Amino acid sequence: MMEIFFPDSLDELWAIMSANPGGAVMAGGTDLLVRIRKTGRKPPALFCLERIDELKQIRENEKVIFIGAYVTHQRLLENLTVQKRLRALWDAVSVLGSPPVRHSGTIGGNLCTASPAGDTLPPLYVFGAEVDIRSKSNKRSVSVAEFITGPGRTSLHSGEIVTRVSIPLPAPGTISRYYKAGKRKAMAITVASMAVQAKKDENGIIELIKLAWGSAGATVVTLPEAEEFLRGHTLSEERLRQAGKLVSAGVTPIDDIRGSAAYRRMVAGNLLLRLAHEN
Amino acid sequence: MKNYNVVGHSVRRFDAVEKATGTATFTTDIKLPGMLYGKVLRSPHPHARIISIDTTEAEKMPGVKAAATYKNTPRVKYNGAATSMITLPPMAPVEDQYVFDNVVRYVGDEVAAVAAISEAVAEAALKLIKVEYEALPAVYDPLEAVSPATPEVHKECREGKNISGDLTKLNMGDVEKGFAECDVVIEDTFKVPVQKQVQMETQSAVAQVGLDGKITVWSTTQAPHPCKMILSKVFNIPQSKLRVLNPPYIGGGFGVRIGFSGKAEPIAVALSMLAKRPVKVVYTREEDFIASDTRHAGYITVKLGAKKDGAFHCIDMNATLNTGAYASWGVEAPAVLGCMGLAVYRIPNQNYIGRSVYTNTTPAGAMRGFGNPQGIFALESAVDMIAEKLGMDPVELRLKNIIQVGDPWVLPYQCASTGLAECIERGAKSIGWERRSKLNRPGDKILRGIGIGVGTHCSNAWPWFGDYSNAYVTVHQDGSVHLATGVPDMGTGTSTTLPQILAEALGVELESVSITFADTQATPFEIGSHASRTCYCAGNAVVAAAQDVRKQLLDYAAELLKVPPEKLDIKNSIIYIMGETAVDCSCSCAPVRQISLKEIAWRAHQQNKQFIGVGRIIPENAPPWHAHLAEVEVDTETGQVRVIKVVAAHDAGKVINPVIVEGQIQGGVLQGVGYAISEEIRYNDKGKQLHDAFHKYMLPTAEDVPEMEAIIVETNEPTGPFGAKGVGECGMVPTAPAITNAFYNATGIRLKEIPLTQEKVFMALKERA
Repeated sequence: MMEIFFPDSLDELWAIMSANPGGAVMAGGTDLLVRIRKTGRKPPALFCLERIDELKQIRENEKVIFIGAYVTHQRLLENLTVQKRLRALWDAVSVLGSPPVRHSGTIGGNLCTASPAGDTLPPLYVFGAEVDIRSKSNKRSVSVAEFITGPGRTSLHSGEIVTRVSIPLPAPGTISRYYKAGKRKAMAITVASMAVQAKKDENGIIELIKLAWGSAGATVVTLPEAEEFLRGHTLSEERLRQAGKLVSAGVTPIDDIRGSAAYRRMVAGNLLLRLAHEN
Repeated sequence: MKNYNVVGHSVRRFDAVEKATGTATFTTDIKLPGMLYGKVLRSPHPHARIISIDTTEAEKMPGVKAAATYKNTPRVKYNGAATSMITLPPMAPVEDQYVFDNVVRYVGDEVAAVAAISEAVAEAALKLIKVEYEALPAVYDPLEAVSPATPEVHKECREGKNISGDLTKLNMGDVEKGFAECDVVIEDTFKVPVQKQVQMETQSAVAQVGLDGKITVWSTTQAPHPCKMILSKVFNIPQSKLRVLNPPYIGGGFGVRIGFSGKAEPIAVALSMLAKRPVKVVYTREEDFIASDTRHAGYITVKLGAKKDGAFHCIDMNATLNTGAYASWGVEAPAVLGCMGLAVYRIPNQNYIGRSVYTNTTPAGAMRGFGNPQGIFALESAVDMIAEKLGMDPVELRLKNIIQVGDPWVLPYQCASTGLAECIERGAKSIGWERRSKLNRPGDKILRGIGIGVGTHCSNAWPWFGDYSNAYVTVHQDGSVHLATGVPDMGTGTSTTLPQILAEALGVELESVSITFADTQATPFEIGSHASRTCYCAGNAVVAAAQDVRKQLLDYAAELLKVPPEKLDIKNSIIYIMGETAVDCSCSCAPVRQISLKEIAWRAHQQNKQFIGVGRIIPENAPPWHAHLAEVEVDTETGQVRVIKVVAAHDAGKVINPVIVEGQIQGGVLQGVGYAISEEIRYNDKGKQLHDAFHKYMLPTAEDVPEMEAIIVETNEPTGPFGAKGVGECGMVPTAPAITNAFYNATGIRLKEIPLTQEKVFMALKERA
């Protein structure tokens, strides 16, 4: 039997967690419950975060938006700052799962699942998001790249939870996008995806560019050499095509039921070509 | 076309409120006192002999009440598809399976089953069954399976190695001479995938064995009467002591249970006989995916020849379909493929050979369209290919060659009506055919294209198979009318359209009609729902029963009203003298010039009489016609194909309920979209199904639904009830080639294998570049 807990505050959560070792934290359950059903391995307890108000806040100042770990994808989709200034994240949640999944799943949950196909992860990488972590006795923050250590693996220690994600708001004039190749429009695990954040000067020369690929390796893949290749240039189709070759060579995808590694490599490179049409 | 009071109107469905409020009952809802739950142990091997099987430990487990294997269940060979009860001599049905056998022939094949007080206990008990297997060599591809070096899946194959049952051979004219006379000939082979019905309710049954030997089976079958007959044969129980019924609804079917629902019925009955308690068997979705009939995959070759002016002159088709581990409808699928493929165009010289081949994969059986979508994908691709070679417009070429009333064809009945030309013309207008080939500019990364596919189908299985219909109509003592018919309503609207037909034929108000359906004890024999037959065949039986009871009513009324019965008619449940205005007059002031059904039924009752009509019909057959036009978008950077719009123009004869027909067309179109671009079940090299769950099997989701337009082209089919023909399967039939022809129009690449998955498309684009 699983015992299910609904703590009302973090203090209550810490008490319940220490009293029930081996329990699992649930923030939406769209991955966790599927996994429990599939493996048949039930944790002794589930700690559901949905009644902890602190984890459901979205706050922002001029420079940073703070998104509570229990903010659902649907709320991100409806948030005006995300829509206007974090378009790559908005793009990602708009194609994540399906409407029911978006109403249930959360940003903290998507991070902790740490799937190489997790749709919010590439945007969080390109925005340089920080993950705030707490336990009963400790607080710390790590970059999203440090947080995710492998497929399904994070740097969370026992007793710790993710409380919020802090995303620096890009300077005005920055563009960002997320492109996804899935096998259908909803309920499709990403076959290959790419997030981009870029800023051009008045001549269209790239000043800043951050790129990250999903489903292209064991975790989110970043390729500084591709970014370097594009920086200082305009995004001509030819330049992008050459950069795409670097990408195809640099990513490390796998073969699975959804697509071959060869296909993923080529598409990961091709997604870059879409930048030629973005302003 | 004639206007009717009830027929032709989109009246609210009889099941609307129940289904919308969640109170409609399905097999999975059935719960009986003392009921046990059955679970099935399935083979992990694609082909193996069971050396030993021991259920002792499982049976010792607390809560376990019975265990079934090949050792304690009937050794009677059967075919769970209704074909085993409607195949007519000289043909003989292929009966090739047992409830449990000591040889397993695909991953998922049934090895044993347990009945226990809960599903969890039953599942735990399965793990305690000890089975020792001797692995046997396996084969997965139908073309390989017929070669001498491959293993035999079944021994009794009279037409050749692993060939299931009889071949289908169709012939007209002289093909050799015909091709010699052609100016243009194309030939190619096409490959089609395994598609799954994915009906919402999985295969399910609840069996209750009474102390008096009577057995009741609530199940998801879409053919209750044949299901009863097969159970009777397997368990050697008189049909009169078997009752099979839907409860009364089924969560879809699409052909997956024309007879048994997988093995849910025989396993529930076997366990119930052993445990002496009711047993419920409900397949998980994974079981449904891997262990119940799929659509036939396979290879189809088309050689098509035409004269310079575009007149088709000769065709040679052959099909090798993969029927998996057991025949099911394996003989019939290639037959329908050939018959329907050859019936679309006027071609004087025709030849077709079709066969189904056993392999160590999930059995293939009936699925919406039944061989026809496979053949039409190949044929309609070939038609576009020859159009290009002739330099003719595909629409123009089709209009030139389609069958007209009176044309000779291979089918054993007449084409008495066709609205196909109108379907093509209206469909082309609606999609904007004139925009075709003008949609792309050089350098475009998203390419658009428009394509067409057309086809025909049947309205039942006669005269290839036994097909007849019966119906009872009873006038109750208050004048309300009850209809009893053995067909199911698997979401297709039967429980609304048949009352509409009755109300129209009898002249009563629809509100006074009720219906009992899909219960072998309360209804006379019916085949069930398959072959797009339900409305056409059961509808004709309802008309016959209505005419029978109407005659009784008019004869009786004639005496009361003192006029000959020929002068009487019934309208709005009132019998009146024709030529005199029918008015609702219940007072006794006027002379009796009319009488309500309510009044006459009560008078009859007081004279010890009830009006009961019986309808018995042997159907003719009739071709529905359809033209689908699709617009697609191809992303050349990812290979993704999106279907933007499908226009589906259908001649279904007189439409009984337009909204139901439009819904049927749209549902079929969407299944066709999945067939064309995303749905498939593939296997790994150990015979394991790779697409066995919703997140792996790529059904279109709500967000993938393209813009759809259903155009209804009404014709009057003289053999159908009020002019109706079949329509249920038709939305599926020409969708895939409309999409693949649009894909060709967009890209210039002819892919001869569906589905057009993104990777396949991407690699093809890359190869060309």
